[in-house]
Amino acid sequence: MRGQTKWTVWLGAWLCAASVLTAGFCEAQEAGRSPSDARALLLGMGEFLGKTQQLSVTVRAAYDTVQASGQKVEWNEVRTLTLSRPDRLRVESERSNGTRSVVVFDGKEISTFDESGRVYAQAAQPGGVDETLVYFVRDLGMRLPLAVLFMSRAASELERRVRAVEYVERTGILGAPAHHLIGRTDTVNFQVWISDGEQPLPQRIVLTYPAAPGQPQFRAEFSAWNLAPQPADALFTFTPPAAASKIPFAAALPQYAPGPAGAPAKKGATR
Amino acid sequence: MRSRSWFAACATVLAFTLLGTVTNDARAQRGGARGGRPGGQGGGFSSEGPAASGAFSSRSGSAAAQGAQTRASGGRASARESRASAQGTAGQNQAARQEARAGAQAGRQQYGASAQASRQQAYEDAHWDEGKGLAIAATGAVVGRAAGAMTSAAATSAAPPPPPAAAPCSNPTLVPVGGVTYSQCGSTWYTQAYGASGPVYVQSAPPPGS
Repeated sequence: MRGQTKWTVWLGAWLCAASVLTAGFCEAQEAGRSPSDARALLLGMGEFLGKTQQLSVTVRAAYDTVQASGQKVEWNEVRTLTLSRPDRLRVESERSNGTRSVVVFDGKEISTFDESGRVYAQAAQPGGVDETLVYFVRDLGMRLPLAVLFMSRAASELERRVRAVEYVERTGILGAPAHHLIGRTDTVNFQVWISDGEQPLPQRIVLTYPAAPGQPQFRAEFSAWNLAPQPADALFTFTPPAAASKIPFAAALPQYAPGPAGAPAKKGATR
Repeated sequence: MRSRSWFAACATVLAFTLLGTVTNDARAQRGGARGGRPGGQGGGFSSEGPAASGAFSSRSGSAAAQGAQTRASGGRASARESRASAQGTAGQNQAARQEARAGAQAGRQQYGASAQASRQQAYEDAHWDEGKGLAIAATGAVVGRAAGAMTSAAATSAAPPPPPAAAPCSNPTLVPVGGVTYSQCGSTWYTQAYGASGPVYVQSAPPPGS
């Protein structure tokens, strides 16, 4: 009886010591791993997104604009993005004022339709999603926030721009375990929360523009990630609705301003 | 008699309440329409700015903006040299030297401009998402690379006023030419085009043949 008690005490003591040591080891491993791997975590997210062939996600975003009075206004929008590499993309948007629009890329043309105004614009754009995103944003001057993240070369785009990145903490405050990182490019400070697990997807991103008056921010929360959406072909086909009018892209119009004439939008380069 | 008075009072209150509701709705609609779109884009508040791009690069404080300043100072230096040249004394030898210097200067300037354009191109390729085109499409004011200095200047100030999403006058004359509809308001012509965030009216040249 006395021997059995002694054995139980020893077992208990051993279990206590083991649990304390294990907890300490895990904590040390986390603390030691995370800061040095912040850049790897960021690029791992880019790599994972770039290699994902099909995905859909909902992005709830808000951004500030500084008015002439100095006061900030926050604008909100929700976008649902469906991507099928190499050359299919659909983005449906709803802005806080209720306007809805859709952007469709089918591998040959890029079309954007404004439901409220019943107008659409189209431009020939043969190629892949990467080239189309560049052409759409840089050359046609259209908004597509966080476009970099949806390129197949998202990792290299991030690597080239990001000057510093640090690990803040591991958190579950957004609903699932995530790594919270901060970083900066030459002109933008950013924070990103990346899911901790097999699928390092962004959960939240905050971009701050420190050199702009009022240091406005862009904030986005990602939800409803689907990495196997199997979209129908029709989703990437744009048929102009009845009574919709075709208008040119503003950036493609010939320049009208005092001074020398400018060139219309050039085709997107693949770099 | 008393119940009739109560009825009249209640009817009056109800009528005023309904009238107030209608007035508020109308006011809300007018306010919403100030932005020119259904629901309005915030009643005339600008929704364009650096953060609208949601980009990892920005025109604000960018090398592109600094490049524009460099180009401007280069232009000033060039102007100084031109003035100095104009003050040169007469004389054939001196004129020849002047000519040679001018030739060399022109060559240097051409090379410098070419190198600058090349650097600018490389920068814009690397920072394609920074919203240069977005600024252009948002204001509709300038198109093309020659507008770099203007967009840089815009990037350092507050958000530009939003371009009109509705026709700038109530009864524009519409002239369709070659698939583009031109709207005439007084002596000014506009074209509806797809801007950064939706359809806008941008000032344009008169339609061909007008």
